[in-house]
Amino acid sequence: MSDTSLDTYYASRFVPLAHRVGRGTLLVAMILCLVPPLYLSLVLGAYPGFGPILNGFLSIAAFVGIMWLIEPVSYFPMLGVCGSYMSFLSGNIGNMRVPVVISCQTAIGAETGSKKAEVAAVIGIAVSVLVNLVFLLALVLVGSALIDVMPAPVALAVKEYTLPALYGAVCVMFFNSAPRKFGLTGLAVAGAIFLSPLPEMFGTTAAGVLALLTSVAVTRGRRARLAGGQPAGTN
Amino acid sequence: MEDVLSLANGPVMWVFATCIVAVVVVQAFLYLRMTLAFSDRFAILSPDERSTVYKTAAINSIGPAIAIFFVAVSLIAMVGGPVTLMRVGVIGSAVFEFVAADAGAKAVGARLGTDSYTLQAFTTSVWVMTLGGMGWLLSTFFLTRNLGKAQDRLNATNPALIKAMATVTPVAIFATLIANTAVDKSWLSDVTIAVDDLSAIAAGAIAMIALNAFGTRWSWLREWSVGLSLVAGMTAGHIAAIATA
Repeated sequence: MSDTSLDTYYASRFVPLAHRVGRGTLLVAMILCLVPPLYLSLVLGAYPGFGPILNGFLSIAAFVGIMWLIEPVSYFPMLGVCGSYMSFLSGNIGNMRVPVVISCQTAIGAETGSKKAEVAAVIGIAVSVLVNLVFLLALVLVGSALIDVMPAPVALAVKEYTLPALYGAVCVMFFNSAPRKFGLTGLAVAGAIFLSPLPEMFGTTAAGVLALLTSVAVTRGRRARLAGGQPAGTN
Repeated sequence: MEDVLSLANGPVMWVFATCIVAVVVVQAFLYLRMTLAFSDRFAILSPDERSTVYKTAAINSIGPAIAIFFVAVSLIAMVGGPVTLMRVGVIGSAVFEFVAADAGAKAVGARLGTDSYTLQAFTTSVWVMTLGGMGWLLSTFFLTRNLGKAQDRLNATNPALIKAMATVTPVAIFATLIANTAVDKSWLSDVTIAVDDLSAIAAGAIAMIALNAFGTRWSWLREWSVGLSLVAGMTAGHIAAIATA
């Protein structure tokens, strides 16, 4: 089949269905999420009053409020349409979904932004959602006895060093899959954030924003040069 | 505290948790089905590539799942199994839910894991976790369609920008996570480097570079790359912690 029919099918059938599925499931999930606190408040009569809820909410919103808006934007290019709906519903994006997505795409050599990469991302996230649930179910059913089985040094190493090791490995995968100049641009953005006075907890959000802006600047500069009559690059 | 936990672990809460988890599983299967149909229709992934993706995803999910598991263990002791399952397994991130539960408790002058953690405090925690997590769901609900449209437009007019965004952003985010994990600092001062964390990061990164290099020859190595890098990183971090203790 020709590329045109693939693109037509993708744009006119696949993507609209993906949005319907995503918005529908998110809406159901948002309603279901409200059931437990409403049950505790109204049925069991443990409503703490509006003040404490607002207080608690504001102290959280102060440091994640900006992430609500930025993360869906900055992760979108990595996750795609289906991947965004799945990842933001199932959570654990930076520490699980994104690492799985890039490792699946690397394993089959799928180029960033290709349909192949998008299909691999959906399969990868779906599988990771199920694996995560199996582990959590085992946890709530068998309990912390599972951790007692592990030798103490192993348990400690897993607890302390999984995330640092994961960040190191995932950063290498993304750097390798990026065109060299974009990989270096990403490192430069991180360096700028690191040297800025921003507190650590806003670091990744700021890095996401600055990376998107820098991407615009970098590609605009190149287009301007091309428009200025210089010979086009070979890539 | 015991009363609260027995309520928090009661059958009603389990029913709620099961419903929410069910939505996540149903969504995953719906997307899987439509994507596989799309892939088959246009032969996007070969059967070999497809099984590689399944294997890679399953293997490489295990390490992160165990890490989440550890945070969940401590959260279960505070807010019970059902809330942990519905908040950490789905929707939230392990660390955020902990902070949110704590913020809720503090708002009524209670502390997690103590007798001051009454049913009211528990209810406040659940409200704060729910409303806090709702922010991501709402913005995803409202933004994703527009982001998709914007991407389509850019793909037609300026594909280089899409490529740049999709590759610069993840490198910037993960390099920032690395810097924040390895280095503690105020602005340009009071810099302390956590040698154990840095060793774990470096070993994870070096293992990944090596696995990529060998992976061109033995392709199964690429399926195991994240898992093996995690083992290398944890080992190095542990050794560094002992050496510097």
